[in-house]
Amino acid sequence: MLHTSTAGKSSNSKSSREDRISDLPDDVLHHVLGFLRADQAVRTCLLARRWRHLWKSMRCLRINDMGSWRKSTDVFRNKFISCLLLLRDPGSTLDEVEIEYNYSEEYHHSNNGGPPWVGIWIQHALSSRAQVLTVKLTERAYFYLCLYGPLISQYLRRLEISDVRLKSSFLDFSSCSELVDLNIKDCTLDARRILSQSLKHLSISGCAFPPNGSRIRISVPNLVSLQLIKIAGCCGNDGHNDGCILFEGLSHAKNLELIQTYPQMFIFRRDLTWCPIFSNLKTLLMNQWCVQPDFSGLVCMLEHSPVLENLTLQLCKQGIRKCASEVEENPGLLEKPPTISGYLKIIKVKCEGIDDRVCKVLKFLSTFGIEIAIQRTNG
Amino acid sequence: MATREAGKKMIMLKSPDGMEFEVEEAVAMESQTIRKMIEDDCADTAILIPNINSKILSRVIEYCNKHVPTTGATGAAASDTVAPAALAEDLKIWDAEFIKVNRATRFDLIQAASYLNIKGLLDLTSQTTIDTISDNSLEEIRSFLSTKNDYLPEEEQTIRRENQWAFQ
Repeated sequence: MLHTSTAGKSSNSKSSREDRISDLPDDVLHHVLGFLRADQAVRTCLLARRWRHLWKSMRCLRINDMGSWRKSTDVFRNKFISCLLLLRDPGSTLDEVEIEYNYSEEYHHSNNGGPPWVGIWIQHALSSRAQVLTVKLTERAYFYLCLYGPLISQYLRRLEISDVRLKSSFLDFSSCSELVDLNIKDCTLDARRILSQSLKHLSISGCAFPPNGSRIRISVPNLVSLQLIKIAGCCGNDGHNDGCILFEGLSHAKNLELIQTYPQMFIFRRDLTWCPIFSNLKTLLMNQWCVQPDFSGLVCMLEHSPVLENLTLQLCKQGIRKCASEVEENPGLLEKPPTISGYLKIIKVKCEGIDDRVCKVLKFLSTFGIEIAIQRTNG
Repeated sequence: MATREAGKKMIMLKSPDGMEFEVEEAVAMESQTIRKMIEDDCADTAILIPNINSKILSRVIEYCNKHVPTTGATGAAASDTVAPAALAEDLKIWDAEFIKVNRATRFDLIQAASYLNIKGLLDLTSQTTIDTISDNSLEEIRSFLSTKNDYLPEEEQTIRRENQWAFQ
């Protein structure tokens, strides 16, 4: 490592031979320790007297199976994490908890207190007022680790969770008044609804809905951006007349990013049938879903966004290959739609190159009589 | 030293060794400590920054200058077209260069970042310090940090026993 060699060199100079780091105030060292992996941080208690209790107040707990931890047993890890949480100085500030490692299979077949602890650690972290929480347990946990909610915290700002089954009311965040960022990856969403008044950024990727066909309702009225990537098993019964899945919950948003990368997922298109009025929407970003196979998605969104100021279309090449469907030239849709926002001032098109498809989109947009900025992106 | 630009409020920062730095208010307010002083109206003419010498203070200002959010006054400024991800990548590269300093300077910067409450700089300096000791033995860490072991042997044994759950 580069850092190691510079540190080695500078230790020869006189000024750095003193123990400068131990002179730093406690709260700075609590911060610094938070950058170490938790097991290493605890072991600094052996450095010198000054360090004996510092780890108990470190502001960030990074529990992951890098380095020597990779080889430890689940029994050791469970004990370690529980002790780490329980022996903390209860008055100290905790900013962030990251639990990220591989559960080995021994717990799959036994009931000796394995995965269920994860739920308790999460609750403990929240009652210690953690603001950022990350839980990643790799694929194996996915089959058997269920997390139930609801979570309760006035401090949690960001939650990132992957490879677990989220059951019952886990996604009901009505009691997490500060939650703004939610990132769910590779999970089974076995919950009825996603509820949050405070959430601003929601990303769901690689997730599956349970096969029984029950719908998940999302009500996040203050959402600013939404990412849905590779979602399987949703909207199987497109013909059913049971209303809007997503858009209803988003209808108060001021800024929206509607990015859909998985062609089989027609959630946005489906929702257009019940499209509400986005009465506050000022900034809208969409990718190719809105212009494929025709422009009806784009037109519909424009018609339902009466105060829109800023429109960005992101047309990536990769998507089109996957989609296999080309933009259809529908003569009826090549005129300016009758009702678009009079406030619309900025139109931006991001694309890798100007191909036929982009040309058609540009031609359509040019009927609005608004200047269009074209930005080339790489890859 | 910064020059006065039309419409931008300037703040004077003084180091204990007598140097004065004129910086934009927005840049100075990257420091939560200074922000609070300004907001509480404790910053009429010049703010004395105790314990931070001019060499370190100028580096801190350099950091703040780079990290102050670029506010396109017109909304559709050129910076608007740069993807945030690319901007973040640029900053990361800049940070990596910025922190290539010797250990004494790094500890000074940690201390300054802590006093001035500049989270980004505190994170950067802390992370860099940690990178030097990660995955090393206790003895190596002691030598990197120049920390002297002042435990008696039996004391060390007690602490090991006390925290046995952390040692495999």
